[in-house]
Amino acid sequence: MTRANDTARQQAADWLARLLATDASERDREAFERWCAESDGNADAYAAVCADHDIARLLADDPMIAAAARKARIAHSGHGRATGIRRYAALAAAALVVVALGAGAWRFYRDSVRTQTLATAVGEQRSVALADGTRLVLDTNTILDTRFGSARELVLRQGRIDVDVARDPRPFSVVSGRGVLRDIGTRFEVERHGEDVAVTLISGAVSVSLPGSADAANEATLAPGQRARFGARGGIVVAQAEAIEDASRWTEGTLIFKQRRLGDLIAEVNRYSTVQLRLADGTLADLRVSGVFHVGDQDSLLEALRMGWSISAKQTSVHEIELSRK
Amino acid sequence: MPRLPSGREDNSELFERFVHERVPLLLRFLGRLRVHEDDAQDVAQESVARLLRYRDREPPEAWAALLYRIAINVTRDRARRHRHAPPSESSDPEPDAIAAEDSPEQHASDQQALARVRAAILRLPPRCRAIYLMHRIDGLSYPEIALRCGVSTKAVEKHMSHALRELRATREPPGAATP
Repeated sequence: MTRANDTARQQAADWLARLLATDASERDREAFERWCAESDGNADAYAAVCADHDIARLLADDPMIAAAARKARIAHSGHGRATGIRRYAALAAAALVVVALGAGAWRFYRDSVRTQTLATAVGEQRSVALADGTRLVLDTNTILDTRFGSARELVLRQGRIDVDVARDPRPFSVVSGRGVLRDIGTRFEVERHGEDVAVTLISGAVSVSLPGSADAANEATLAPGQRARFGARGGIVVAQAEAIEDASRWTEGTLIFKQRRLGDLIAEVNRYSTVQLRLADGTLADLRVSGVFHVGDQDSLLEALRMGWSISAKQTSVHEIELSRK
Repeated sequence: MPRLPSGREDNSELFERFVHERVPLLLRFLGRLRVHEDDAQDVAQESVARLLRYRDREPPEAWAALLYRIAINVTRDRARRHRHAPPSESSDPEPDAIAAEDSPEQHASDQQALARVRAAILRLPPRCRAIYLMHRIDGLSYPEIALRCGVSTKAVEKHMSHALRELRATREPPGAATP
C-alpha cells in the first residue's frame, strides 16, 4: 500500500463518516464531490471504504459481532433505553422470520404455543433474537427448546446459554435438569452438563427452584454475581461467582482463566473442538494457569502452554492431541 | 439498517422525493468524474435502480453516501466494458470495491472479505468498536450515540472515521493467547 493510497483511504473514511452524519450539509457534499473528482484514486478509495461498511452490516448475525454490539448496547443504555429496544426489535424483525400480527391475531398467537428447537455444533456460537425481543447467545454444542405461548419457557437440554430477557407481561422461565429458573427482568447464564446445572446471575434477579425435591434447599433467589449449582441429587448450592465481569466473556468468544486448574481449562476448551486435548500425565491437571484464550484457537493455546508452562503437544490421532511436560 | 416494516410506505415516498432531488446533483457529480454527457443519464438511471435495493435496508440518511459509491462503481464498470479508457493502475486497485458492487448478499459468499472486516471490527479499541456497532448494527444516529456515550457528536464522527479506515486493514488478529 503506497503512501498516496493510505492518504486517500484516510480521507475516504473521513468523508464517509461525514456523509453519514445527520447534519451533513449540501456544502459538505459539494466539497466531497470536488475531492472525489481530484483523482480516480480518491473515488476508488471512497467506493472501497463504502464496500467494507456494507460488509459490516452483513455481520449483524455473526455471534462475535452480535455479542460485541450487544455489549455496546448494554454499556451505553443509560439514556433513551426504549429507543434502543425499539431499534433492536426492528433488527430482530429483519433477522428472523417475523409474522405481522393484528390485535386479533395476537390474542390467538398468545393462546397457542409455538415450539422451536435451537442448536449449535461443536465450536459454533450463535446469537438469536426471540420473537419477544429476548436475546440469547448459544455456546458450543448446545440444544435448547423455546416454547412461547401465554408463557415464555426455555428448556436447556445441554450446553450453555446467555439470556437477556425482554420486558413482556408474560412470565419467563428456564427449565434445566431438575430445576426451574424464574426471571424478574434480568440477564443471566445457564450451563448444563448432564444433570449438573449452573446458573449465574449477571444483573436483575432470578429465582431457582427444584420442584418436587424434598431437600431443604430446594429454592433460592440469586443476587447479581451469585451462582447456583444443582445436580441429579441434593439441593441448591449458592456461592459467589468468581470475577463476575468475566463470566459472560465467552459470548465474545473469549475464555478467561485466573489461576485455574489446567484440567478445567482443557475441559473447557475441549467443548469447542472436535480435536480433543488430553493430558498424558495426571499431575498436570492440577497445574495452575492464567490467560485469555479465544475459543476455537487451539493453536494459540498450545503455543501459550509451550511458552509459559513448558508443556509440549503431540498429535496422536486425527481427533486427539496429547499434552506432556517437556 | 433494517427498519420496521411499517416504515415501508413512508420510505417509498421518501425515496421518490430523494431521487427527484438528487438526480440533477448526481449528474453534476458525474460531470466532475468526467463521465461523458451522453452517458451520464444512463449512469444516473442505473445508479438509482441499484440504490433501490438498499431502500429498505439502509436509513434515508445513508442514501446519499451510498448513491455516490454506486455511481462510482457504475462509472468504472462502464469504462471497463466500453474500453473508452484503458484501465489505469489506480482505477482497479481494490478488488473488493468492485466485487461488493450492489449485491451484498452475493458478496456474502466472499468469506474472505467478511472475515477480514470481522477481524478488523473485533480489533478496534473498545470505545471505537462500540460506537461503530451502535451506528452500523443498531442504526443509531451520531447524536443518539453521543447522548448515550456522553461525548460530542464530533467525537462520534471521529470514532466512525477511525473505524471505517481500520476496516481496510489486513493485519492478523493480535495474539489470541497470553500466558
